[in-house]
Parts: sequence; structure tokens; C-alpha cells
Amino acid sequence: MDHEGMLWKSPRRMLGSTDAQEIGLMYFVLSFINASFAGLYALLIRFELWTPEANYFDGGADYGATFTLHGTVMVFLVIVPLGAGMGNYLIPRLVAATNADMYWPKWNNVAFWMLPIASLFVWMSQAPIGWTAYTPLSVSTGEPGIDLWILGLVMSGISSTIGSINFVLTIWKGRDPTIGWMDLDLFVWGTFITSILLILSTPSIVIAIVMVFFDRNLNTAFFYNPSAGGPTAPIMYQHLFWFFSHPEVYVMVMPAFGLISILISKYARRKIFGYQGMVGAFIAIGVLSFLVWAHHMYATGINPLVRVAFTTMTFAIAIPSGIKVFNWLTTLYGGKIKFGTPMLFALSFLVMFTLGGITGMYVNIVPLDITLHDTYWVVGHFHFIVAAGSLQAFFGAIYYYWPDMTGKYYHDLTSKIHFWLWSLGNLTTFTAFTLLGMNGMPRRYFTYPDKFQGLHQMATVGAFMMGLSFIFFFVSLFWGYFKGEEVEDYDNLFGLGSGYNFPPPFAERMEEENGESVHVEHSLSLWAGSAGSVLSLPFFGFLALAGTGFFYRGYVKNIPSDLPIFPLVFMAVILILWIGAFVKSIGESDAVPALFGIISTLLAMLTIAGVFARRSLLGYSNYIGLAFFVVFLLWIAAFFNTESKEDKGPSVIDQYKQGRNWEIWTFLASETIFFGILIGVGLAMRANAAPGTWVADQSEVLAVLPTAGNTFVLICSSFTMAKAVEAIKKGNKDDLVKYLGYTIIFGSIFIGFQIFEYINLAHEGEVALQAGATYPVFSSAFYIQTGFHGTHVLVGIILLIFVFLRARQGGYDEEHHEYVEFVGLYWHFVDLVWIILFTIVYLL
Amino acid sequence: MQRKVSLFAFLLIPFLTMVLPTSAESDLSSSYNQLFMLLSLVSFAVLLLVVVLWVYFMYKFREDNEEVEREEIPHSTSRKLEVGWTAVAILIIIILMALSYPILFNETTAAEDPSNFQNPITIVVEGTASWTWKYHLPNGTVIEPVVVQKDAVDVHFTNITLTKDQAYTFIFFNTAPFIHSYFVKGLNIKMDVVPGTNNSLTFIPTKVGANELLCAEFCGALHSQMRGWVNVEEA
Repeated sequence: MDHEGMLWKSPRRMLGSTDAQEIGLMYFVLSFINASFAGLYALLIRFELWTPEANYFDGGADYGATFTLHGTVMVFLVIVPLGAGMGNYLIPRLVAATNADMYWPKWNNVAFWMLPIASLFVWMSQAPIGWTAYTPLSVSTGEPGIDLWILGLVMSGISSTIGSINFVLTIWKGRDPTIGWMDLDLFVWGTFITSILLILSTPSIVIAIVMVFFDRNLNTAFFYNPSAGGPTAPIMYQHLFWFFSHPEVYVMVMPAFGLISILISKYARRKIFGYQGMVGAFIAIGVLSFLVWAHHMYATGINPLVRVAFTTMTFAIAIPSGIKVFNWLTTLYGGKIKFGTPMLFALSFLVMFTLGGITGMYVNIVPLDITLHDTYWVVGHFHFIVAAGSLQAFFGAIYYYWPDMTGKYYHDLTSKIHFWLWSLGNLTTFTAFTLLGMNGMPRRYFTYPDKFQGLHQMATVGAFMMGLSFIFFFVSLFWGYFKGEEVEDYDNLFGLGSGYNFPPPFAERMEEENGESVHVEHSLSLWAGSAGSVLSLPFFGFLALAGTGFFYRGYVKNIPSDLPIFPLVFMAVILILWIGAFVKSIGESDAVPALFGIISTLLAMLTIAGVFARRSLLGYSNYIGLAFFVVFLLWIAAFFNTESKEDKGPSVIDQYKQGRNWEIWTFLASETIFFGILIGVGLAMRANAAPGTWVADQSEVLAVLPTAGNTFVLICSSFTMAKAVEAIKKGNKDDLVKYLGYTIIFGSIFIGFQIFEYINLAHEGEVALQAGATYPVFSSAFYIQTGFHGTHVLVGIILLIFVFLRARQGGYDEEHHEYVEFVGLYWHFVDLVWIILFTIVYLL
Repeated sequence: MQRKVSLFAFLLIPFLTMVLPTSAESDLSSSYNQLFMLLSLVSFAVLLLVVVLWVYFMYKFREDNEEVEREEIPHSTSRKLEVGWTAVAILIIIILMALSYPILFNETTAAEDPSNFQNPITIVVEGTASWTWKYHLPNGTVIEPVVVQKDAVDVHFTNITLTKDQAYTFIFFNTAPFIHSYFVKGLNIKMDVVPGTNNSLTFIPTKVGANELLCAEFCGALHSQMRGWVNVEEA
């Protein structure tokens, strides 16, 4: 790699990199920092549970944050980013991408830089509600950190959606055209299916936890509202949560499957057995993962027939997983196995994953689930799969690719100690968990009946072994980096007689075969880096508003009054990076985003200090939150101003691809699920609403006819948008500008009317959110559906304004007007959603 | 076409018989235990197979081993293997379904044949906002929790005594702003106690003894401290 070592010394490079390999490395660093802290929390748990007494924490309330953060961080901020990091690091090379990078290199940077802030929010939250955050507990618990936890996860969800769209486009459209689907490495397939799962499932959890945020802060009645009679639909949360979280567990394991295939076939010197079966298994797992979510809910009292359906689907999904294990085993047959450290991890994975799968079978059988649900059996099951499974695959892969990352070999002996300590620790702890569960020990317990003590102590011993092994992991890698053996022969790595065997890079192949010279530049983009920081501003804004009681009803209690040191230190590090980047950018256009980076980081630090230390910020605490949105809008204005001035020649992508609408279609897939779920939630709420909380006839409380007129206005805007696209396709630039202008006007009228309607409704008090509103459940559904839709219209108008301004400068022509079509498709989608929403919310 | 239809019917009829409730023995916990044992046998067999092959291949095909023949698996064999183990996996799944579905419906009636229930005694079980259990007996008495200090931690025990071979219907009730779950492993009972819903459970305890009650849905600060004993005595 050309720039090893330089990355960590250059803040400008770290913040602005658009190079997938560099971004991949940054993902690894972030993941391992998070894993170290989450691992420490695990050790705290195990230390506390050494005996039934209070060994470290004062009580259950104190203890709640340990398992919540251990789980949340490991799932969202360690395993998923490790998958994304490995994907970034390997996939552009595995698919011989035409631009030698991810499809959208700048969005790649944006997606990454949202994660450190998301991590910060989650760590600051110290939320005590379990990573599953079931309602009504998560609504009624006063800890303000829960709002932070929610905001952090929404940020990480947006980050992984952007990243997933990027992977899908890279693999589907960005690869070398001569590489067919069935030529792709299995890691590519794994990441591809994983990315589709994330795109389609993330909206569900975002909606679920945003609804919790609204119940906590805006007096809505989605799950629990004392003034609406208490619980409204607590189980609905579980459906929404698990509709995402079940595919999420496959998201955590499928990239690992791909890596195991790489490691086993390399170290056994054999091609993977049954490639087609492996691909088929990935696809089957992907599809089935959406059909099994309620197997987490067998004890909630759901209809027995529903349980049969989900049990059957869950049995079905066991089959492709089992097939993969047999395929891996058979790959060993006839091989010439070398037992290098990566292979040790891969081999161990086979057995650990089988144990995990077997323990999973038990809990799928409803009668057995009665005894095992919410006990340590389940904890054993998922730790076998994720810790003894996925995480092992990542260990193995990082060791294997260490020469590629650093040009050196890791230290062999310490890596073997890491492996043995880790594996023995895994077996000790997770077997103890399984036995504890079999004996009926429930989860998330701070104290326990004495008879469980022996097994708890066994689990604790194993946990400390795992913790110790981590140290050997870092020692092995860093010793290798600083003092290790340099790689001599990249075609005979680890004595395997082969190298990494990436397909020939696209540029090389074009040069050899066609004599064409494809020039690819990995340019820095501080705009992208600042986008990651600036996109966190609305979240800091929400935090500031929630924390200072701006919303109708805040569950704001118990805010600590001391200054939170760790978060401020963390933000100070980021501030130093931005200052460093700014200093290097003075005199270039890059200085502006660097300045925004500094401003947003400073604002964030002020919020943290202000909200958490209860220090009134110049006496205007309630409005500081709004300031964030202003800065955010300023950034957007500055960005568009710069972008529209740049002279953009055709990019590498443009040269080889025509008709890029698939990019927006992939994004719209996520949006379709998002609105589909919102509509579904509205229907479910109506069906389950207690008498008096839902209006019998909407025309009594809503202005149906005027809104119908507003709907017509929006339809007109779709018409003018279509005319605009038609115009530019014929090369008519003047008409393009004209019709874009009309579309903006119609869209603005629509939004203006909606704002007017909201103010009216709040005034009338029937469809409203203040205490004493007549129809709390109906109002909650109304505002979340029309509100999210309205936000989408607003974003659409902002995008339209940008396209309009560019069009006025003559930036589009007959051949190149992709962004006009993108905005057009987005706009039509938003309009179509409105037609459906209007019908369901106002008419039916 | 005809063969496909009759094969489908052949499989459908047993499947339907499986999922519809059947009347069989009276004590569910022995069925549960049998199912657990059977699944353990199947799992152990699978695990053994995997581990044996794993060890065997690692040993036989280690790179030091010069003598072994390292042949490619011919295409026809590999096809047979893949189809074979997929078919075996499906068969195992079908067997597990056949064995477990008949008792699947009985979660709300923790015995296999609800018609065995004659004159169940109805008790309302409340999960409270102060992390305790309470029983509301039909005669109006309320069984309150007793606080026991265990190792510097307060645990709330609510104890109830049931009669052997007598049917009971527990109706669950919760006014707390969080979900509890009523879990008595010894009686094979677990049911979420959800605010706003009244889940219920009917069962007949058939063995004398003391059974521990634990809360099995995270409910906040004192989740691990809301417990009790469900004692079963002779009539």
C-alpha cells in the first residue's frame, strides 16, 4: 500500500480520506477501541457476579448500564463496524472495482465519521434498560441517558445504511464487468447479502427507538403514556425491534462466514467445497432472516398459530447454516492443512458455531423455550455465535491480512497464546452460561439464588482468560508492526505457496487488453469528513433540547452535576484533529469544511458540558438546541455553494456506466420499508387503540378537503418535475430551470400548508400532543406519519434548490443530468407516499 | 403431477395432525423433559459427527502427512453429498417438528389436555411497580411479599402453597410501567406479565415440593430481587 504510516500522522488525511483501505483501517481501530471498553464492562459484570452479594455496584440500578452498554456496543459499534471495515478493506480489490475504490468514495468517509460520535453518545448514555430497551421500561425510566442512547443508535443506523448502499452498488455495479456473480469470492457474497439486510431492516429499529424518544419527550402515546391511560401497545415495540434485530444477527455473522471461507480455503490449499451451495445458503439465510423475528417473543402471550409459523421458519433457517458447516468441513478433505493462527481461529469457529447453532435449536422449540427464554441459555447461545464465532473470524482475518496492512508479519508465539487463552476462555464461560440457563438462571440479574454461584464463578474465570488474551492479540500485532519480520514474498505468504490472489485490478487489465489508460485518483475530501461531524449536529440539538426540558414532557431526572471528563477528552481529540486539518488547509477551499468541523466539535463540547453539568449556557439553554440546526443549515449552504462552483468533468464512473438511476433505487428501497413500517404502525395502532383514544371520524378533527387540495398541489409538483426531466433529456436547459422552479414553488406551498395545519391542530387540542389532548393515540400516529413525510418533503426542496441553482448556471446537459433524475425519482417517491398516507390517514 | 399431489397430501396430513392440539397424557413436564432429552441426543449426535470429522480431517490432511492421497472429490460425489446432507437436515427438522408441535399450543394451558381441567381455582397474580409479586386469592385474601435480607441485598419473596392435582388458572396483571415475567422452572411455567394485557395460564401441579419463582423479563432496578416460592403439597 502506498501510504502506510502516513495515515495516523496526518489529521487531514484521517478526516478527509476517501480511500477504502484507509477507511477500513480506521473502522478497525474504532471497533477495537469500543471492544476494549465493552470488554471491560463484561469483566465488571463477571466480577460483580462472582457472588450473589454486591461486589462492586450498589444495586441493580447501578448495575443496569453494564450489560446494556456491553451488548449495545458489541453489537452496533464493534461487530457490525468490523464487518464494514473488512468490507472496505477487501471488497474493492476482490471485485476489481472500476474506480479501484468503493462506488461512492466520499459517502464512505461520511458513513465512517458518523460512528465516533455515535459511539460517544452511546458511551455517555450509561443507559440501564438492556440492549433490547423494551417498552414500557425504556419510556418510563427517568435516566436522561436513554435519549442519548437512542440518538447514538439512530446515527449508527444512518451510517450503516449509507455504508450498505455503498457496498451494494460497488458489488453490483462497480465491479469489473468481466467478473460474473458466480466468480465472486464468498466474502463478497456475504457482504452483499448483509448489506441488503441492513438496508431493508434498519428503518424498523430507527422507527421503534424514535417512537420511544417521542414517548419520552413529546407526550406521544405509542407505547406508554400515563395521561393516555398508561400502556398503549408495549408489544408493538418488540415486533418492530426484532424485525430489525433478527436480520441484524445475520448481519453480524455473514461477513464472518465469508472470512472463514477465505481462511479455510487458503490454509487447506483447497477451493471451497460447494461454492454454489454456499451462495444459495447465503441467499436463503438472507430471505428467511426476515421471517423469523417473533421467535424472540414466544413467552409474550402471542397467538399460538403465530408461534407455529415462526417456529417453522426458524427451523427452516437452521438448514442453510448447517449446510455451510458441512461444506467447510468437506473443504478440509484432501487438503494440505497448515495450522497458522488464522487457521486455528477458523477451525475453532466451525465447532463453536455448531455449538451455538445447536443451543439455538432448543430455544426454537416453544415448549423448551418456556424454560430457557430469558435465561443464561440464550446468553450462551449468542455468545457462542458472536464472540466465539464472528469475533474469532475477524481475529483470524486481521492476522491473515496484517502483512497486507503493514508489510510485516505478526508475532507468531503471542498470537498462538491469544488463540488458546481466547478459545479456552470461550469454552469455559459460554458452557457455564449454557448450563446456568439449563438450570433456570435468568438474564440481567444483579444477585442470584446461591445454587448458581459455582457456575457463575466458572464463567468469571473464563471471562478473565478472554480479557487477558486480548492483550496478547494487541501485543502480537503491534510487535509485528514495529519489529516484525518483513514480508519478502507476497506470493508465498505464511509459507502457503500463495498470495492474497486478488483479481487483476481493472486499470491494469484495461491497460493490458485495450491499451486504455484508466486514471484513478483518491482525492481527499474534507467536505465529506466534516459531513460526518456536521450530521451529528441535529442530534446534539435534540440532546440539548431534551436535556433542558424544551419538549413537552421530559423524563429528565438525575442528571449528574459533575463535568463528564471522558467524553470531553474524546471530543478534544477530535477537535485537535480538526485544528490540525484546518492548519494544513489554509489557503485552499478545504479550509471551509475544516472550520465547520472545528465549530461543530466545539458546539458539541459545549452541549456536553452544559447539559450534563447543568450549566446554563448564557441563560439561553432552551434555544441552544435550535442553534445546532442553524449551523447545520449553514453547512449545507456552504457545501452547495462550493460544489456548484466546481467544474466537474466526467468521473471514472461516468465513463463506464450509463444510466445511474440504480443508485437512487437502492436508497429508495430503504425508504419504501421506512414508510411501509410507518403506515403499518399507524394501522396497528388504530386496530389496538383503547376506546376514546382514536377518533371515530377524521373529518371531524382534520381539515380533509383543504388537505385534499394540498395533495393536488403536490401532484402538480410531480407533474412539473416530470416536465423538468423531459426538458433536459431533450437538451432544453431553459425549460429545465423553469419547471424546477415551479416544482419548488408547489413543494413550498405544500409544506407551508402543513405547518399551518399543525399550528391549527395544536391550537384546537383534539389532534395534539399536549397533556389533555382528546385523541392521544390518533395524534401520535398522525404526527409521526405526516411529520416524517414532511421532513422528507423539506429535504427534497433543499435538494431541488441545489439542482435548480446548478441548472441556472448551465451545469446540466442532454448527456449529463443524473442528479436531476435522482431528485426527480426521490420527489415522485415522496409524492406517491403522500397519496397513500393521505388516503389512509385522512380518508379511510 | 398425480404423484406430486399424493406426495403432498401424504406429507400434509401428518403435518396437520401435528399442529392441532391432541389429547394425550396429563403431565406436561414429562413431555418437556422427554423432548429436551431427545433434542440433546440428536444434537449430541450431530456435534459428535462434526467434531469427529473435524479432528479426523485435521489429522489426516495436515501438511506433514506425505502418504495420504489428496484427490479431488468428483463432481457426482459432491452433488450426492450436498443433496444427502441437506435431505438429512430436513428430515431431522421434520422429526423435531413432529415431536414438538403437538404440545406447542399448551403454553397457556401448561398441560396437554385442557379438558382435564375440572374446576380450576382462579388466582390473580400481580407484578407490581415496586418489584414484588402479589397473589389475589378468590376468597379476597392478598398474599403480600416478605422482605428477606440476603447478603446486604434485599430480596422480596412472595410465597404461595398449591394443592397437588388441583387445577389452577393464573391471570396475570401488571400496573407497573415495565414488563415482568412469571417464571417457575419447576412447574414449567413462564408467561410475560405485560401492563395492559391479562395473559393467563392454566395448569395442574403433579409433584410435591418447593419451586422457585423468578422474574424473567428485565424490569429495572430490583429485577433480580422479586422472587418467591410456589410450594406444592398433598391435598
